[in-house]
Amino acid sequence: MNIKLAIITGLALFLLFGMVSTASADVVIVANAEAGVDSIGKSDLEKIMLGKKKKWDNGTKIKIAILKEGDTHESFTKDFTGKTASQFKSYWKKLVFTGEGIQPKSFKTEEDLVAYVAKTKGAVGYISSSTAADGVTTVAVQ
Amino acid sequence: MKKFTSLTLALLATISTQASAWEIDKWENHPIQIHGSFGQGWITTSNDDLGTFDTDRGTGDFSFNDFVLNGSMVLTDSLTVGAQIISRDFGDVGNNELDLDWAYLDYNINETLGFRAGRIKQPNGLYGDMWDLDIARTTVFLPPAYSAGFRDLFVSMDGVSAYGEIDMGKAGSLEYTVMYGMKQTRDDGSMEMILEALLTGLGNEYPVQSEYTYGGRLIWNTPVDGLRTSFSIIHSEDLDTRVTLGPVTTNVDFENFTQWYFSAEYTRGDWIIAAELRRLDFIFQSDVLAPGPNSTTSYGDWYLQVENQVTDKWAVAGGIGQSTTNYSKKFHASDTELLTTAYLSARYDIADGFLIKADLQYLDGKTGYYKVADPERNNWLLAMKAVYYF
Repeated sequence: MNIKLAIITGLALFLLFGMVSTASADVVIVANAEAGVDSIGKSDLEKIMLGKKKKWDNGTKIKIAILKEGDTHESFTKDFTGKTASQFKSYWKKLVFTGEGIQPKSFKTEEDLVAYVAKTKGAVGYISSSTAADGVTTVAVQ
Repeated sequence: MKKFTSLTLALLATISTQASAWEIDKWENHPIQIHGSFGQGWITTSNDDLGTFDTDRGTGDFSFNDFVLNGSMVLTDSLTVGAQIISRDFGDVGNNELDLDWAYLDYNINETLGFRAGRIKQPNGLYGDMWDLDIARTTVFLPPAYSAGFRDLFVSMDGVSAYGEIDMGKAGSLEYTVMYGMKQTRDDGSMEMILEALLTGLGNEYPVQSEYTYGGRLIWNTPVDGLRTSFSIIHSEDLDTRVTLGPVTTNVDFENFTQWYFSAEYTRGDWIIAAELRRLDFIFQSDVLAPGPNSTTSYGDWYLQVENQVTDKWAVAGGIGQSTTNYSKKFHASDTELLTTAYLSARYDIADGFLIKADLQYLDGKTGYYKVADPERNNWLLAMKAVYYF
């Protein structure tokens, strides 16, 4: 095999397919009222959802809520963590099985996620803009 | 397939059939999360006796499995505790004995500083802390720069570490881990593969241990979206073991034992490209087996891997790499061995909690832990694995 040709071909395919993008759903970040936050920087949100930032500025432990699957989940992971849904899942499996993180709570429906965030101190999650955000704080991403 | 210990069987019998983790809410606001995985593999080659496997042509070897079980609990807003046990079989190594994979207290001050104490995972290169994590990667085996023979020395250590991420604004961020502690491997562990290769036919039935080990990893998340680079290093002092030569049992030492990696990974959409350089050097010392001036041994590896998530369920990967071993002629017949590996991998997620994967490797040449009984130069290897996880 011509190794150089194989590497060049692989890189070309990578660049070609890497340019394909998919449409994204409108994602809204929601948090428990005791988190004490109504806006957050995109960098801080990424750190939170990747388990790097574990406490809110007021010292409250952050509890992450995620969706199991769906367009909202895929849009969120891509737009706010820089990972596809599969990469996000693998990332968290690595944290859990190396002891570096506690698995986020996952939910099948956005309504269940909202209910959890509303009753859980320090919780944060995401929903689509069409889902009712009853009992939670909507967080603007700067 | 070698039998599991009775404790392992008991643990398996209590595993939930659901794909989600167990969570025990016995203490309000302090739930215990339990996760686990069980992988059973099969490996065959175009040759007999590859490394520690008895891969008779066409029959293959099922002595290739692993089982992990972990529990974690948040004690306070800053303090977490957790532990993981592992049982693995890798040909003649492991034999499904139970080991403590990691167990530590984690005290997190903020995103820039946290501490861990106990048995902690070692970050070697980009993927060294994922050695036994089939569910977090596409390939069955780690890339060529991670040699199976040295696994037991690099997978974890007993000590303390500090970790965190430093924001550098437009320059990206730096993730760091520094650690200090001691190592001790099992007496029938993976180092047996290395010592048999180094000492041509001698076995090792004693643990390998170090007086102290230190090192760490620095990952630069660059300003280029999806690009990160990394440097990691581990150094051990007074790493030693004992080997038996006929009626004689003697000490052997690995002085100035140092391993480093330079790594780069670029992620774009469903594609991931990774490349790493690795170097391991030590001075082998034994007054009985290799008297006289010290003998330097070095290992050098590189690889390039491309991975793609084709659909929600299918992922593929491919790569090429080379492994070079330079022995001292004082105790080894050849001074240099070179192994070139090209591989293709595929993974299929049948359902949440269950996946299958396969690696097809082309091996040109040989290196210590991939020694073969037959002098044929080129070999094919096929490894398949099914993994259940929760």
